[in-house]
Amino acid sequence: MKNLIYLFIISFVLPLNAKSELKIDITRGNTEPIPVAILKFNYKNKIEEQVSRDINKVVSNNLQRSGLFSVLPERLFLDNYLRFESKPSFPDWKLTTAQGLIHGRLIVDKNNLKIEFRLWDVFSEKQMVAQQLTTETSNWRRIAHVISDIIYKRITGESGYFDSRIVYISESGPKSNRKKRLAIIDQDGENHKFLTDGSYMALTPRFSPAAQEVAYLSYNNKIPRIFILDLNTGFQKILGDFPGMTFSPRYSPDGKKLVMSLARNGNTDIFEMNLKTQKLNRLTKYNGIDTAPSYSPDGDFITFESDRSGSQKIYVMNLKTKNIKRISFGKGKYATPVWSPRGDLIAFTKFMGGEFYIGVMYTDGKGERVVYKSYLVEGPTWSPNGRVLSFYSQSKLSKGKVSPPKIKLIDLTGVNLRQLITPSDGSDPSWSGLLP
Amino acid sequence: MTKGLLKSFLLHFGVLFLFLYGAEIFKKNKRFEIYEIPLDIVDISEKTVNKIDNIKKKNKQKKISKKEYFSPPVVRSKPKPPEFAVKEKKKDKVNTKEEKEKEKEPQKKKDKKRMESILKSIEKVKTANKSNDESKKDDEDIINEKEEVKNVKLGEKLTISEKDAIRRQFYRCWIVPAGAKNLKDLIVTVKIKVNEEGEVYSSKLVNKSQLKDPFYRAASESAMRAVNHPECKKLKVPKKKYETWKDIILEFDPSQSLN
Repeated sequence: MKNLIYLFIISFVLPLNAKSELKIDITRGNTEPIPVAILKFNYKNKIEEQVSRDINKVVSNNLQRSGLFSVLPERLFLDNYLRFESKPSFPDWKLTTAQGLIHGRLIVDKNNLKIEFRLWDVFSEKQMVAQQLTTETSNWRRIAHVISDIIYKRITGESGYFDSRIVYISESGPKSNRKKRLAIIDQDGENHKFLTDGSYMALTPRFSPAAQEVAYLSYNNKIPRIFILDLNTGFQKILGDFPGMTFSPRYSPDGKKLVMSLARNGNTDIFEMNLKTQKLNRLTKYNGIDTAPSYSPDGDFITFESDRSGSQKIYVMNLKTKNIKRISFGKGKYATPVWSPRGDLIAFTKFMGGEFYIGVMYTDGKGERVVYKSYLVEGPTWSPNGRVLSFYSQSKLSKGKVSPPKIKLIDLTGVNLRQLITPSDGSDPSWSGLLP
Repeated sequence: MTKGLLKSFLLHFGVLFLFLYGAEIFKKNKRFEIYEIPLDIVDISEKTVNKIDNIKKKNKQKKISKKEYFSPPVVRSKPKPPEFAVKEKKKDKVNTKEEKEKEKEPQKKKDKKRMESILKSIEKVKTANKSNDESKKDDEDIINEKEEVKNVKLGEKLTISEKDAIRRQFYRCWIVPAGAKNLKDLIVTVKIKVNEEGEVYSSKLVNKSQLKDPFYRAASESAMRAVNHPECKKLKVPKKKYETWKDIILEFDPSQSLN
C-alpha cells in the first residue's frame, strides 16, 4: 500500500520537477596559442637574479616555440613581482588576457640550486601545479627544460619534449668531397657537439628510445657497417659485418632489438636483430625492395615501405601473425614511414608531381594529411611526445641550383614551422626520448 | 485518527516540497566554489597595493586624456560672411523691389495661403515631433513589448540564430586542444547556470569520472577556461526567454577542430 502511495506521489511530482535544459554543442573554437604570463622567479642576490633571468628566458622560449603557448611580454603585467607564498590577484591578471600564470622562487646555495614554482589557471582561479626541484647550479638549463615539460604536460595533457636532444648528420665541404659527421644538439639549438671526427662518412643515425645510445650507418673503408655509440661513455661498437648493403637501422621501443633492411643479390628485405645475441630474424621475403622499417610503440607491429604493389607504398606488419597490410593508397610514391611514439599516427615522405611532402596518416591509412612540402624533404622523426616532427629540407634556387640541407621542426597541425639552427648544414635528424 | 492524518499530511507535504525545490535550498550561496590552496596567504604589502593603484590611476588619467583628444573642437569665433555676396544681394533687392512688388501682388495672396498651409504643416510636424520625442521611449518600450509578446507567442524555445549567437560567443573563448590524441574521446560536457542578466554564475563538469585521463583532464580544463573567460561570462541571450536558457548544457567537441 505504502509503495503505491509513493508511486502516486512520484508520478505526480516528477513531471512538475522535470526541466528541459538547453543543449548547445561547441564544435569550433580558436586555435590560437594559450596566453601565459611568466614572472621572474624570486631571488635574493645577484647570482640568483642571473639564474632567474636565464631560467625565465629558456622556459619562455620553449613554450613560445612550441606554438601552443604565447608568452605575454612583461610590459603588460600590472605587477612584476609576486611573493611565492601569495595568491595572485586574479582580476588583475585577467586584464592581461593571461590564462596561465607561472611564478616561483629559487635559492642558490654554493653549487646547489633549489627551485619552487607554481602554475595558476587564471580564469578558473585554481592552482594547477606546485613543485620543487633541486639540482646542481650548472644544470640550470636542464631544469628549465624540465619546468617547461611540467607546464606543457599539465596544460595539454601530454608529456613535453623540451628536455630532449636531436642527433643528426652535419654536412660541410664541396659536393665532390662532402664531409658527413655525426652531431648532437638540444632541441632548442643549444649545446651542439660533434660525435665523429669526419674521417669517415656517417649516415642515418637513430636514437635508442631506452638508453643514451645512437645506432648509425658508417662507410669506413667503403664497407657499410652499423655502429652503436654510447653517448655517456663515448664508446663505439660495430654491430657485426653484414654481407651486402645495410639500410636504416631503427630501435625497438625497449631498445633490445634493431630492425633494418639488408640487400642481398639485388633483393632487399627486412630483418630484426637481437642486440644481445646478435641473431638475425628475417621478417619479409619478397622479390623486390622492402625497406625503411619502424616499430610501433608497443613493439607489436612494424611499418615499412615496399614496391610490391608496383609502386612505393606503405605497409604495416603484425609481428605476431606476420600479416602484412597495405595502408597507403593515394597517388605518388610513399617512403620512410615512422610510427609516432604515442601510437596514433604514421609520418611519411611522399613524392608526387615533382615535389616532396611530409605527411601523417592514421595507422589504418585513413586521415592522410600533408604538414609540409618543398622541392626536397625527407627523413621525418617524431618528438618524444609525438606532437612535433623534425625533418630536413632543400629548396630550389635559381639556375637549377638547390639550397643546402637544413633541419626543420613543425607542429603536428602543420602551422608552427621553425628551423633548427646548426653550425653547418644538417640532414637525417633523429629525436631522442626525454632525457633520463 | 486526526493526529495521524495531520502527521501523514505534513510528511507528504515535506516530501512533495523536497521534490519540487530539491535539497539545494538548504545549502548556502552556491555561486562561489572555494578551492583549497596549500598556501600561507600573506597580505600584499602596501607598496604593491600602491603600485597597482598608481598604475590604475595612470591608466584612468590616460583614458581621460584620450577622451579630451577625441572631443569635438571648441568654436571660438565665427568666420565673417563674404562681403561682396551680401552687397550683390542687397543691390538686386533694391533694383527689383518695386517691379516685383507689383507683379507679385496676386501671387502674394497665393503665397500667403501656401505659407499658412506650410506653417500649419510645420506646426503639425513640430507637435508630432514633440510628441514623438516625448513618447519615443514609450514607443520603443511598446515595440519591445510587442516583440517580446511575439517572441513569447512564437514559443519558449530559442531560435536557431539565438542558439548560434551563444555558440559563436564560445568559439571566441575556447582554445581548442588541437593536435591532441584521440580527439573524438575528448568531448567535454559542462553544465552552466545563468542568471536573468545572462551572467554565468555556476559551471560544473558533467563527466568527472574521466578526469583521471590526463588528456581528458586537459580538455575539460580548456572547456572550463572558456566558460570562465571574461568574454563569455555574460551571454548574449534574449531576456524574455529566461526560462529556456537559465540552465544550459554545453558540449565542447574538439574532434572537428582540425577539419
